[in-house]
Amino acid sequence: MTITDAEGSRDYAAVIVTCHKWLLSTEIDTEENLFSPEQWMAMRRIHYL
Amino acid sequence: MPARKSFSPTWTTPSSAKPGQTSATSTTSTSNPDPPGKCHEHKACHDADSRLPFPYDEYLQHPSGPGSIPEAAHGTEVAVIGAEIAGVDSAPFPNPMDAASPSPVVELGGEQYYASTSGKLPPFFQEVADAWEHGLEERAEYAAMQQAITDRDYATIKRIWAGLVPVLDDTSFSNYLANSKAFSDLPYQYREAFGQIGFGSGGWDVSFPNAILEIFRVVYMECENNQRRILGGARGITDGLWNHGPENMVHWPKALPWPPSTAAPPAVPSPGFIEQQGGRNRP
Repeated sequence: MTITDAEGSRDYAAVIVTCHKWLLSTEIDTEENLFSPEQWMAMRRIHYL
Repeated sequence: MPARKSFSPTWTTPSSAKPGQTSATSTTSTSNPDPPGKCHEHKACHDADSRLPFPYDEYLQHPSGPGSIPEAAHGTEVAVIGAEIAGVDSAPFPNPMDAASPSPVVELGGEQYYASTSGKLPPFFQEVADAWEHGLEERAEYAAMQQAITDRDYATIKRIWAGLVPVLDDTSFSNYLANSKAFSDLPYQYREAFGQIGFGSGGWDVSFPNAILEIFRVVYMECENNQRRILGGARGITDGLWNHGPENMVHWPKALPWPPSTAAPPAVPSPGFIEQQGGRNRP
């Protein structure tokens, strides 16, 4: 999985995401096919305040 | 057992479960034998294995940590987006009307009201607060849920929550308020004022489009109260992530002392800094 931040891009075998899931669909440019449509919908619906 | 009001108390419900399924496994698993190979020692493990909800704070306190990396992957980099709050010092966040706020001021409709815990606000504010409390109680079994959480009575938590989900899954915060007996008996001004007075630096009304179930999750756990702020700022988290070394490291040779007893590390420690301090190398 490739993570890109201000320092550039790196590949990782595992990524731990502990931020608000909502951010995956808003602030973070996330590859859409990483999650199923059902998972995306669930993340939209249970986003934290 | 840690106090209920840990920094980030939450519980999890199965997001894939449909309303009809959530009560199916509610209380039966306590009488079942544990699956072989499961942890018997910790209540949190048992609960997490056997049913939801489970106490997330106990889960995080497990001495083995919340997870592990397969041996074959030891020493490789793992990307972390976000971070758990651990090992940082915190202090009460000064919420309005909280003891941490010596002199809160409420500005409503162009008028300013100064209040302290000993001072008096106009009765209108108490009426708004009462309506909110009654509005929670009338359909959300607020007091019963609070008691169940205090008692860590998971069967009751599950029963109340499973009853709310199918009924209120599609109801927004604002819709819930508008249809509550407590607020609909009062002029719209009460809901408006309630929305403007919230917690932290914002009001509740920014959350009015959110699902009421989200709001229940917040208020049941009192996440809108008893908030903490991080002493020294949020960089304590990233500094800690980089420098903190637990005692029970499996792969890396030596845990670094944290917090460092000498001078503060540079703002962005280089890998070289880490090598000098403890011989811990990054690939």
